[in-house]
Amino acid sequence: MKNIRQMTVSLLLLLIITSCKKKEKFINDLKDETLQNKWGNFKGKLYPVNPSQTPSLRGSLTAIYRQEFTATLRLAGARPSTLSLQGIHIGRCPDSRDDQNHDGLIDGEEGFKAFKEMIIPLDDDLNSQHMGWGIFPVTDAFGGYIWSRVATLENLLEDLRMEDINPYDEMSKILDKSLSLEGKVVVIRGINNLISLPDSVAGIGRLSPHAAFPVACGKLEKIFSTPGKIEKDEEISILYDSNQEGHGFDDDAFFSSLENDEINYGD
Amino acid sequence: MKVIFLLLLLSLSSLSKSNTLRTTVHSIDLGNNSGDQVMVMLSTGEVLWLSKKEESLIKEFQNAYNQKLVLKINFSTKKILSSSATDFKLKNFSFNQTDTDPMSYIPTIIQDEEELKKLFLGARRTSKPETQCFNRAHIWTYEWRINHRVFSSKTWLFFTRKFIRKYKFDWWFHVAPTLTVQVDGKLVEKIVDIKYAKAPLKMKSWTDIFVRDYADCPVVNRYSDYADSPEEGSCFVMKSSMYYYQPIDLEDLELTGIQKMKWIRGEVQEAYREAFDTIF
Repeated sequence: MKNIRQMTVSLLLLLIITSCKKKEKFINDLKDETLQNKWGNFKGKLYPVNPSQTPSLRGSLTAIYRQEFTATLRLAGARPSTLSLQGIHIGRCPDSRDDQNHDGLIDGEEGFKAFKEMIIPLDDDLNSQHMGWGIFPVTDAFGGYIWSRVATLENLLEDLRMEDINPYDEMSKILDKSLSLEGKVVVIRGINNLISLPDSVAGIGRLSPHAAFPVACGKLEKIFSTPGKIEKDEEISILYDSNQEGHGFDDDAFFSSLENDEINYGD
Repeated sequence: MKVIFLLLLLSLSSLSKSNTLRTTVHSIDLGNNSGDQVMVMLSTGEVLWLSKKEESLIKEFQNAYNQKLVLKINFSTKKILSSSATDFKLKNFSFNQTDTDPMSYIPTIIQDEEELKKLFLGARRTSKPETQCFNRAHIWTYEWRINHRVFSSKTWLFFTRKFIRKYKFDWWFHVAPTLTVQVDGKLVEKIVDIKYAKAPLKMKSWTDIFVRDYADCPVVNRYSDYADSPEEGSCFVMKSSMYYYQPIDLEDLELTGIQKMKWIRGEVQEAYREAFDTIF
């Protein structure tokens, strides 16, 4: 009985020491300049991979990468009611050169050759690759969503540095000890099953042609400035020409017939 | 006398409690940390704050967001009174990426500050305590156009999510009309926010009314510059022509390339009804 108690205490102590060492290692990692140099705010503007399917798709991934990793993804103009498998990949965004079978579409298989393995699935739990897998956002009735999650850098890096227990899936671990987001790509895959795709469109692994279909991609770049211009209440510079006032609008017609204007009111 | 006072008090309290809104859900932010409250951003501009414990309510709002349902909400109790399907339809369009400037015309130049003052003082007032900024702005610009032949514009102030969380701010955007006036031979843009200012203001003075840290708000000309910068700074400003009614119009412009070039009867009607209790 006494032995069991001693063993339990020793085991607990060992666990605490290992955990403390891990914590200490992580704190040392945080001080590492190579890692800190890789921190920052990143943005990846999303563009349609297959514009014939989602011509007006727009969006972006904003990632804040410091002691915490926060990812916010805004998507608009995709197909409605679609599960969107989203993640950060190590390759590049596919383009028309990747349409190997020349069917006018980049399918899951062709796309994967360009964007390659996923390192951070943007799913329900950013702390690990496998926890939260399968829980992805679904586009609303207008084909959009805003999604955001956060992870601690400690958990994220620890998971990414672990041994790859399944080398055959589409996820990979990182080889170097620090994670760099610069140049990585964010990819969104999945198109509504109701959309008819030609037989030439292939899926990949366990993903059906629809689930693997790449819809959006964007390259992550570090942000050094905020968009826009600060206006210091200066004089504005309109090259004013009275003939141009209300340009694009038939002023006389507007007033000569308000009734006519009312007819034009509808969409 | 006491009875009258009590009745008045009761009617006032019922006024403040009856702040029902008819709106769709613009977006939902679950927060970055476990202790964060959930922000439900309504298309009308308000931010509804929910505790993560209010799971069923969050689910209701998420469902409404996904299906783009039109909700009738009691803002103070955060209760959804009713919901109905939206009559919006997905638009068919051909995207024109080059044509995305929301300022589709050159505005009228107001000749001097005296004329500007007349427009400011002559603008319609409302006795309603709670009205939507975009409805007020729409009617003020509409009536300047109808009554004074003025092409005005609108200035949109968008608050970043970082700012909204930091100050637990109740709005995610605000809008006011803008007039271009000649002052000492120079052209100056003045924000004419009849509800919140006693006179037309320059942009920084106007944004300072709302931006609690008095940050400078960068002027952007694409909605995505704001929407894709949730953690950068406190605010962004966008300028548009008077025909843009709600932020969704600015979003749509970038998405579809379709410019708003005229008044939409339904929007003018709704703006009159909500902001001024007037049937158009």
